Amino acid sequence: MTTILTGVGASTGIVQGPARLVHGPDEFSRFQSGDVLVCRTTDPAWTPLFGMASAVVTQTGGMLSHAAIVAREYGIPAVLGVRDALEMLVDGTHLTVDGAQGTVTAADRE
Amino acid sequence: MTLLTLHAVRLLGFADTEAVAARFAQSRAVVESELIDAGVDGFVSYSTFAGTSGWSLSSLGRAENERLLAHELHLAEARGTVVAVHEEFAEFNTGVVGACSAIQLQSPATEDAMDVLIGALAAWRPMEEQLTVLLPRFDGYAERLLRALRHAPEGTAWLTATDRDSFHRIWFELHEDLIATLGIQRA
Repeated sequence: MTTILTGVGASTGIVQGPARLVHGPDEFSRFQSGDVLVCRTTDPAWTPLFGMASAVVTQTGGMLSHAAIVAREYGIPAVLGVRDALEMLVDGTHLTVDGAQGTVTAADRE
Repeated sequence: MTLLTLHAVRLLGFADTEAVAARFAQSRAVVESELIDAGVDGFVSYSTFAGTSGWSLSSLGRAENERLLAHELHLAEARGTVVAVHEEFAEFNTGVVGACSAIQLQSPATEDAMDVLIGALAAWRPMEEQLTVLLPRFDGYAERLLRALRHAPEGTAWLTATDRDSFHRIWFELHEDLIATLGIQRA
């Protein structure tokens, strides 16, 4: 069984990696290189995480957002405007992020 | 803890002591001392990301920053002005983000995109002048945006990159500054 969430594909590319749900700067230290960043929104404080992330999934934003521009600069896929991403995705779950199609596929945990 | 030190960390997001001090032309020694105190209070933390070390704001620090900004706004009687500027900024923000996207994606609209950025800077100048009368710390954005545009012929990195003071990085910081000053959340 898999869960597929959709949003706006704002930066192209397909990658796989573990979901890392980040609710605020206090949780930045949990973030590991290769994680998929899953968050509500981003601001300048989040930019260093883009340098470590394999992909970005946000609940807000779209094709024309600051997060989209920063993701493209780092050359990582971004799916933005995924409503309820923080509620629907589980930390550590294996994700496939398709930044062209705007899909986030999560392998359900057994 | 002064407003400027905490706010510099907020605007820069993640920065070393030199950069935090430079943001508002403060003494490095004073800022270093304030950052250490802020660390003790749990407002900031020092960490390493991808080989770079720097200060960042905690959730508690963000709340303290917004408390200090609200006090500043009240003392300066500037809320009405900042609200009006933020509304006008938002109109140009869509165009700037679209232009930066067009440049990155090398769409046919790239040439028009430069005109959009030049127009946005022209629109921002009077807004900055309005703001700095009441809140002098807003000074400098227009100058930095102009510098980025002047470097643009060297490469589009000066318009969109994150590793230098590019047009988008400055604009993103300015957006954060307006949002923080009003104590509102990013849409």
